[in-house]
Amino acid sequence: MSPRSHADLSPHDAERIAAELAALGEPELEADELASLTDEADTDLAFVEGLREFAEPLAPRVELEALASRRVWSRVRSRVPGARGAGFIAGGVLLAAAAALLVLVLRPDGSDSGEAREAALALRAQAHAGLEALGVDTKPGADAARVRGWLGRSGEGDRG
Amino acid sequence: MSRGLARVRTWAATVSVACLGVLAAGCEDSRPAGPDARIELYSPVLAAEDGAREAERAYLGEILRAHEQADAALAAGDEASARARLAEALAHPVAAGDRAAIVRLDLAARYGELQTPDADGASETIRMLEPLLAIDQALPIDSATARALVVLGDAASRVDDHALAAGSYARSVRVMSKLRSLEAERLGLGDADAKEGAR
Repeated sequence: MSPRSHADLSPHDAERIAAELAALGEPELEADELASLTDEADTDLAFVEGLREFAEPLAPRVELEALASRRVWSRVRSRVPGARGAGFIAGGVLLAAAAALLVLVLRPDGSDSGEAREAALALRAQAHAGLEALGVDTKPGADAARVRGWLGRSGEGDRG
Repeated sequence: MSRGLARVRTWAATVSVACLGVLAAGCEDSRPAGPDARIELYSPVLAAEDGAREAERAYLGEILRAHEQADAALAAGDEASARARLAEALAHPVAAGDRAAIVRLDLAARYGELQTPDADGASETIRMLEPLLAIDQALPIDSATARALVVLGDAASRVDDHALAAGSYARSVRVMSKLRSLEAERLGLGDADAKEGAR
């Protein structure tokens, strides 16, 4: 799976998305929303690519779901000073992954092994990107450090 | 004579169809048809009871030593020893308490990460992780749960069990979505936004 660049969004794609939004009564794409469909951090690019492969027959719907998630997070970001950057990317990736999950659950023919393979391939990218966005460190030393942290806090009765 | 034979044939056919139906129903119950993304989560309570605190601390200390020794083995290029030390720690009886449960999930995930590149190791990882992450098992809302589910998905992919892989990855995404939602609550964001985004 290779990341896409902004230039990969053809005029045809842009026109198709605009037409679908108009049909749904949604406002036109803002310039930054258009850019966000392709021109984001690597994790987002990997997600978009994975989502396209996963939901080939449902491509227009999935793209709109990703766009809806993007818009929600744009609103969230505007309400939280300093919440841009990693937090935004993490939230976007996870929300978009949840949208992909919804598509998986709703697919009636998910029992077919070919479908399961496609779903596994796409969800694998989401899951790994999600772990990275959460900051889960699996390098040597990281697990010991976490347990050391638990031991340091184990008498405080904290939560979370 | 011929009427009696016809009755016997009809009766036999009815019984045969009924038996096949029972068999088919049995097969359906025991073998999931596709990816299963169900998951039951709980919020871990990280304040140990007084009586359990020392036992949990002892368990955490044992796991910490295992991780440190595995780190040293990996630094020396001895991956087999690292795996063996982690396997030994996994065999250690887990103490009561949510901290211990979370630390054990991280330990199992780390062991699985070292095993999964090899096909035999991937099968062993599935045998180890599946019971810990079973559908009917309530799991703590923690990154350790998400990590262990991803490792299970990777192991299942390695042996071409795509239904298990898809289900495991999907379950990990659900854990991560829940973690994100809790984080949004902690940041004081409106719950409506979090719910809207999760749809």
